Amino acid sequence: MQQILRRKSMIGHAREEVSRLVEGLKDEIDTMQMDILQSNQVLRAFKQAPWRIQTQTLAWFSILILATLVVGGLYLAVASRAGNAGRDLQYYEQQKTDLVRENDQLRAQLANLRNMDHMAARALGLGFVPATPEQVYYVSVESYPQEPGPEPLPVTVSAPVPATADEAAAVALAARADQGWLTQSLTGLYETVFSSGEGE
Amino acid sequence: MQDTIFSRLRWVTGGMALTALLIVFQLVRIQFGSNTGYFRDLGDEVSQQPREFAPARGRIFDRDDELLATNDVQYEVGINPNFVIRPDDVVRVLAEALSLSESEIRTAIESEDRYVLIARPVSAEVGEYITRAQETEGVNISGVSLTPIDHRAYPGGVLGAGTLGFVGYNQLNSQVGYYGVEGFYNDLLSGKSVQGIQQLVPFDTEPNPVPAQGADLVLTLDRDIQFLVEGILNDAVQRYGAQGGTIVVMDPQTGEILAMASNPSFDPNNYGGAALPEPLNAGVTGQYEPGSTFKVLTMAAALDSGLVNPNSPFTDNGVIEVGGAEIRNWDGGAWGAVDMTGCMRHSLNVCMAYLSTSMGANTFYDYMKAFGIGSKTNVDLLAESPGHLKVPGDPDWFDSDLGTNSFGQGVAVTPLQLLTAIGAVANDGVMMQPHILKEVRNGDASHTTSIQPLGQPITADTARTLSAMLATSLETGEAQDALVPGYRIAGKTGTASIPVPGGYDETQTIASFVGWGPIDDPKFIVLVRLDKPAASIWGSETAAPTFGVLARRLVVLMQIPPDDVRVQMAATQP
Repeated sequence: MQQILRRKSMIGHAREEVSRLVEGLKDEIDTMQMDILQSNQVLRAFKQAPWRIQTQTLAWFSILILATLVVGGLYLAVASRAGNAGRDLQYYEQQKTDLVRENDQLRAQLANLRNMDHMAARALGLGFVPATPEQVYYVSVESYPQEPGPEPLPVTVSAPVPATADEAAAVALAARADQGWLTQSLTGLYETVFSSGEGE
Repeated sequence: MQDTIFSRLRWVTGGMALTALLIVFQLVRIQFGSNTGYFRDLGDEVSQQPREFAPARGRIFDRDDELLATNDVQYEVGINPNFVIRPDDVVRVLAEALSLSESEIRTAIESEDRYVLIARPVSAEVGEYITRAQETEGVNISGVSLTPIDHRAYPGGVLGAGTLGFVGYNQLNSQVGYYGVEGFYNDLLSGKSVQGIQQLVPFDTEPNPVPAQGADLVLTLDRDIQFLVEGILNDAVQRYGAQGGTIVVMDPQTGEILAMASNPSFDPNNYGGAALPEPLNAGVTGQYEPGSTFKVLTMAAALDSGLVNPNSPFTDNGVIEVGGAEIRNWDGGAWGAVDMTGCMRHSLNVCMAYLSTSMGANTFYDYMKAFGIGSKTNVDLLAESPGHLKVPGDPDWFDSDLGTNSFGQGVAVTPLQLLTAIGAVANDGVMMQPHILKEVRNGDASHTTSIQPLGQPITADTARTLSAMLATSLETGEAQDALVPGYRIAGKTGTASIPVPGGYDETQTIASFVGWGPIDDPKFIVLVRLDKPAASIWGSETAAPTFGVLARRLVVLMQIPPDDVRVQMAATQP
């Protein structure tokens, strides 16, 4: 019995002990919860601190500026290169024009030096005189290739001599009236000269 | 206090933000708004400049590729008064370079205008002088503008001036060719300019458009022969006291014009320096009554129609009546019994009138038309005259014209027209198209003109017969100064009266000679015309000797061996 009573007493003590522990734990939990709550509040307060918002804004702004600077820098670099290329192009175009002019100028100077007045005066100055037919000797060389003569005249083949003067006059007038030679020549010339030059 | 500062800062920040927004809004509105076009045009006006990109004018060469016309640079000198820093330097340099008065330049410097033109054009030498002054230390001529301008240059000066023409500037300051080759082939020489935009902002710069370049022309002219012809013509005009003259040299087998000279002439490098001669190129523009040189065509018609042969007899009584008008010989004499060669040798008007009337008007004028008399030759030179041939049925034609026309009176020709017609006699009856263009070059492309017959008014037999008759008459007649030893030359003198109101000038004539050679293989045909020679009115005493001098040099220049050498050479060839 005593054992039973002792055990009951022990159990009661144990229960009290447990209860005290539980209470203690509850208090601890409450305390911890309070701590957590307080911590959260501090954290929220930290997060919502004005200086922190300004820093963040500044950071974002800095990033934006940096990005803008990078993009702007790239654009400027490209634009600068394009501008430089354009300036070079203008320079080379001008140089080309100047060189063409200089070339023309030199060509004209050369032609002036080679003009007939200069050449004749120089030849006379060197003691040359115009040759007369009597002073020229022609040597006949057997089988020497001759310069080709003028092209054969198509009229002698394709256009027989008109039978009458009346007919000849009509042929001559017709040939002149339609300006056949001129029309053919000029059409051919313009086609030849300007067909390849267009669209450059 | 702190709140007030922050409040004000907020207002300032807000104001700046609003301003920035307004600027951005305005930028967007300008870029994309309804007035975009206006602002774009405004921007383009500053950054772009519409410009005509004109190609360099094509050059002109003679048949041996010697330059006859090319381009060089001249300058326009102006002053931008707002940019002048040291007026004394500007006045000194420009007055010295341009030979202008100092007051003139000082007035320009003090002008309210943005730009004052001082001189245009000035030579390259003057331009270089001013450029050197710009670079000289201690001299400041800022405000002086030196703009290069294209300029046409003729290295030979007056050489071939009438044939080449000249280049001037139109109202748009573009180069335009006038007269001669420059005028006729202006479109070919000037190329095709391109309208484009010149970007002044380097960022937008694009390569300039390339216009179709002007073509280079190679002419049939021979510079050496042209020089020779002009020298001989000028000497002849001076020696015989003529008021002017013309010489045309042509290849009768091809129609190529080898030389064409007129006196008086002009310098195309300075065409504004003196009054231009009238006509500018008498070879194609100066029509005149040809006189006895025309008898070649009358005789050709008579032979070709079968009316006569070289030995046909004719008794010259010294006068013949045609259409109520009495026609007499040049000396008023009667030459008695002659043959057709004698008619040509003594240049008998009566004989020619007999031939034309015997042929009849229809036959005679048909032949003249077949020879191209009264029609343009369509030579490729500007301002060609057609001459004038009256024919039956025309209101101004009378029966007597049949007689007078036969010896070249009452009919007008140009030197080139007559040369072309008589060229048929030299060239076996085939009349060749006279032309001056030999080749066109443009870059890698080239086009060579082909020779073209104009027709065959007479048979080859007639032509050869007449050539021989004219050679014989020249060898035994009064114009033996035209002969060239070693070469058989054919030709005919002419002494033409000059029509004046109410008749003909009694004292002055146009003396001329048409000749060609060697007659078996003619390489040249030449017309010499001297206007109103004072030393002698006769073609045989003025034009014929001039032809002789020229022909003796021509055979050398053209490397034509004497007849006997050519025969020998022909015999040795396989």
